[in-house]
Amino acid sequence: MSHLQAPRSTSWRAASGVASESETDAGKYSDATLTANEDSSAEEPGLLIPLKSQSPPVVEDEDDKCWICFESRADELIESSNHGVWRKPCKCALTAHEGCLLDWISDLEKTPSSMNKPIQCPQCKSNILLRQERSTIVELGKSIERNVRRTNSVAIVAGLGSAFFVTSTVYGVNAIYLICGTKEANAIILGPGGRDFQWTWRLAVGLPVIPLILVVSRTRLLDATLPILPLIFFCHTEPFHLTLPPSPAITLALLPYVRSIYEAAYNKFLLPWDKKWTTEIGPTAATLATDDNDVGLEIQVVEMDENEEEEEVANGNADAHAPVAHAGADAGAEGQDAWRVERELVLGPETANLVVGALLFPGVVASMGGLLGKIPFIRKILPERFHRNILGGCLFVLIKDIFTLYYKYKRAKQRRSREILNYQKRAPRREANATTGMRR
Amino acid sequence: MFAQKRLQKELHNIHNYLPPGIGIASASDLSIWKMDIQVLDTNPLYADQIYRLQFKFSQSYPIEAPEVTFVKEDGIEIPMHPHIYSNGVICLDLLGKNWSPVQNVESVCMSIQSMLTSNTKNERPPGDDNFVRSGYRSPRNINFVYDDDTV
Repeated sequence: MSHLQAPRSTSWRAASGVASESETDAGKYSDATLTANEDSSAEEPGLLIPLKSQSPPVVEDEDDKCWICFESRADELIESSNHGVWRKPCKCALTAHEGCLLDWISDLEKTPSSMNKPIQCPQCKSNILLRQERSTIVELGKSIERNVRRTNSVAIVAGLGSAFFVTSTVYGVNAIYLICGTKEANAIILGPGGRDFQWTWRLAVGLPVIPLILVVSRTRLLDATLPILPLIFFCHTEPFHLTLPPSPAITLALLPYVRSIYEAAYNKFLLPWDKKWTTEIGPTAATLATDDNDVGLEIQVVEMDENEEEEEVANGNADAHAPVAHAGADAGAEGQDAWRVERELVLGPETANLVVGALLFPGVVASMGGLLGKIPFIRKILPERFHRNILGGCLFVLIKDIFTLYYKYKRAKQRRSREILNYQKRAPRREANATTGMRR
Repeated sequence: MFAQKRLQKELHNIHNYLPPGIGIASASDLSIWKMDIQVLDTNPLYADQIYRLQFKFSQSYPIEAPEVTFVKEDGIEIPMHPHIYSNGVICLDLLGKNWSPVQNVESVCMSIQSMLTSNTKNERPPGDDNFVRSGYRSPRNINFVYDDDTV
């Protein structure tokens, strides 16, 4: 539909009858080479059709054959055809009925890929020119058709983008209310005293950015920028004045520094142990070169827990019911804290862990804060919900890290104690107990 | 009709002359024709073999391309070729996006004949099993990717 869009377009519609019409009513027809880019037609002077010219007369030859319907002029002497007048649209020997050509062109126009291509003679590849009535409606329809195709993808991206923006903003508002408590949150979002609410750029940018920052702060990507951000977003209304406990704005501004200090301390004192145990959990010294989390081997582990022991007794057959632990699955659990060792954002289950963990964090923080609020002593020192939440969040991180480290330590220890059992028809119960005892 | 008249013309021409190695097996009605083709040189893949092509014409022929497939009949196999599936479907741009009414039964036969003549690989297209199992019979519904100009 698009070869019609050439700058000035028309077509060879002018048959003897039509041509005379175009002379009398020249304004109705636009003088254009339908198919063509003007350059190529300009090179071939014959291709430009002067407005009032008729299509050049075709030399009649009885042997002329329509290359589409294969009928010749001689046939038409015997039997009249309804395929229209004869046309010779290109420099090669092909001649055709106008009706056949138009049918063919309509068929070509059906495929979207040919929309922008000029119509070419299949034999000599020269452009075939048509003249047609210029219709604003048709041109408009065609350009709409073309543009819709293009716009669709843009619209989809824009739609998804704004959906993401709205979701992020709502998430941001929720996170603020969860962490700061209603009063402080109102102050942050609605302005001091909850009056004169204005949708400022700080809110428009800051709120949707919250989930992103949460995720990114679990990686190294923004280590340099994070400490500055709160200053931009929170410390605009009033100058710093230190109180005890510090105001939410200052607390938030300080958090990135606390985080950096904590990380530095962790890296200095605990990371070596972390690494050591992670290594021990991994395949073995022989394959140490590979990534720790690449434990793709499926190892059958005979876990001797109480429950399973009971099962073993019931079945009297330890081997048949040895639970299968997939080391690969365990690697996922390791991945959760692998960011401490390798804090690169990689795609895969670890990334999912990282993102989900980050997004759930405000909820966790709020419930930790709620728990702390139940303790009268803490309630007395920290009367504001916000401060209890922050404390709760810090505690949570601390507990989680300690637990993770302890878990790794235990796993490393378990790994050291691991041995392969020889096949036995019937697992003697005493031996199973002995193994269990050893693991404790 | 449009298609019928043209096919009658083509049939008339074919009865007068056909290039060597191409023959007409049946053209009893004007919607399905069968053509036999033979590779003339000594290509070991196709030596002394006759293959049968089936042409299915729609009412819009020659504006629309015919459906051309190899068929298996008594003693007639489907030729081995990296662009011919074992159910006879042919992957040839001429029969798809590069079709134009200037083509005809004879020229299609000649194109396929030369496609066989120049082939040296004794293999089916990649994914032949899946393709055949998925049961496509009509090449029209397939968007072939014509990526290989060498064969």
